[in-house]
Amino acid sequence: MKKLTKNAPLSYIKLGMMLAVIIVMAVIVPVTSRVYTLTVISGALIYFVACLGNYVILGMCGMVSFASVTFMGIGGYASALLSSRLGINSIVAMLLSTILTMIVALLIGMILMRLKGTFFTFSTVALVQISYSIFNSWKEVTGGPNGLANLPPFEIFGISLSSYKQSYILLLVFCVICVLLALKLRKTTLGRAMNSVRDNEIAAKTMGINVYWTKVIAFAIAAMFAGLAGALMVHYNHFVVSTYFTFDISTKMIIMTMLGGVDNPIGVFLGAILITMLPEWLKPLQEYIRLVYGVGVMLLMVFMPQGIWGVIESTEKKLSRKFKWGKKTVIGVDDKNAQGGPNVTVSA
Amino acid sequence: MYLQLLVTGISMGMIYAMLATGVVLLVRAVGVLNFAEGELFMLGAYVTYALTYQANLPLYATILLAVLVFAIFGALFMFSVYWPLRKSKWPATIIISTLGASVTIKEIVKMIWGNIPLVAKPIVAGVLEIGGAKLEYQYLFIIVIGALLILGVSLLFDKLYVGVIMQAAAQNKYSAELLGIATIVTTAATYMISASLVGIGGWLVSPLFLVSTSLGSLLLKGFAGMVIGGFGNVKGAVMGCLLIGIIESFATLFTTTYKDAIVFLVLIIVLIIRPTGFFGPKISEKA
Repeated sequence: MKKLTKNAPLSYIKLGMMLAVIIVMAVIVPVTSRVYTLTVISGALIYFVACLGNYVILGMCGMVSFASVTFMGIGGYASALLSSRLGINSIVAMLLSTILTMIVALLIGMILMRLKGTFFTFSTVALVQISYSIFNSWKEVTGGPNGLANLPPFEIFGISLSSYKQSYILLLVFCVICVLLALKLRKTTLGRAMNSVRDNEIAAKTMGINVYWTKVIAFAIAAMFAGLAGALMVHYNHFVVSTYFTFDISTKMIIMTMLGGVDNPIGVFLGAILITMLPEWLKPLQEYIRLVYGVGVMLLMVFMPQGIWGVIESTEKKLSRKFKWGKKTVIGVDDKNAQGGPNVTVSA
Repeated sequence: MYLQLLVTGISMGMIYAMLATGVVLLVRAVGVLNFAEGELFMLGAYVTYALTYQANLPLYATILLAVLVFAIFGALFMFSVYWPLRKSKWPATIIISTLGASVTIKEIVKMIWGNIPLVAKPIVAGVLEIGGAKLEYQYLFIIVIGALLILGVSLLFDKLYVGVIMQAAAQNKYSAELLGIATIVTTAATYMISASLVGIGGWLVSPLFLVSTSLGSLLLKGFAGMVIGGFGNVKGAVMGCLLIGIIESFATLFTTTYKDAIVFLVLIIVLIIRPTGFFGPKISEKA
């Protein structure tokens, strides 16, 4: 399903939605909400950055990877150690540790990408177990279950952002940059190569795409987002502990990505916010909260397997059929086939 | 000392093998990776605990009732997690759904039995001494029962007529239905067998560990063994799991903190050397 025209009116609506979300997040949220709510939302933003990694590897490249939490850990601990022990400016430390995470991921990816589909998924599960036991047991470096405390806050041009509001704005800036990167990636040769690998590996190979390296690079890019998220988390909380990086967190992030809609960064954002805020909104249910969460995930997969963004997209399709928006430009596949399965729509 | 470690390793391996066999059955029958298998396993431990210590039933009644409960639960599980999603075009949805199911089961168990781990007594008490090595009967019991059950299940699927029907339904649903096989029944039966198998596994393991919700995490080791053996076949899965159990048990000689890391490191090394596992399929993927 391909829309070839650039100016379908609804893509402006989508753009408007994105701007609205950014404005709400940047202006209304910090002004109106209390410090506690702000920290919760900041947590969601941090997970969102890591989930963008899932978006790259799962949504664009079609590989289920649980490894994001490992790379969050590597990025987080690297940044914590660089800034607290070597006294490097925290922003610089974050960027350095992101690059470091990417290099580590490139090396690990070169090994793991020799494996296919399910085997790859398992090896990432194994990776998460290994990294957790290292984070938890290597007490001299990581602090283990006691963690590392008193880590430096964000610092730009000598100004230290100590209040939660200031850090929040900085997080938001990072989020926007990451979303733009992810959206841009989709339009590049590499991004299109990833999509073709996801849809049909053998066909991609016949088209002259180096499947192996495409996957390895996708893995490294996903790790880059995760590493950045880890570093952000460490400096935002001024604290890091091994329990931040368990397998449970990893599944939580996969669910966030799937809930929002694995196809689009905005969908991923909605998923991250929803999963993080749900426990806060359902406070009265306290004991049953995780039960509701589990049942919710199951129901969600039955009724909207493509996530929130999938629902938005299919409503949009219905609307455009009703009002004949951009109908002439729709080529190929009939709409029945376009439902379900990874959406291949390239909306301009 | 070494004998003791070997026996412990093999019996833990047998537990992992039961988990892995349960998963492999489902993979073969419906092509779904079940992340909630560990929770079915944990449920097995809790249900048998309730029947033995809270309802005070004798052993044979416990086993009969427990298997009945597992089978019913397996069918329930299938109709809630697999059946509504079977026509979904994206396999990831079913995987995520089983993740949701695992959380749900864990929470229900916590609501019924509370957060505190329960203590179960050994099913077969006593210690066997061979030349200084102390072997608890419980470990030997696990090895024997586990081996018998896995053997029985694999015979059922490979040799008996019922098993052939199930395999036919698994391999090609459409033509199986044309031949008059009710695929819904065979799928449900597979889920029931899988749930019963891991449920009994939970019963066997409950005296070794405490009965708690963290029992579900043993599934990861089962997965590891399954991948080492080669995905989607019972023989490989059992071999892989026994290997995992033995490695884990002997790893305690050198380190206890990095025990899990060593197991998973072995997994990754095996995957690098032989990406399809030791007993994996010999043909490559078709277009």
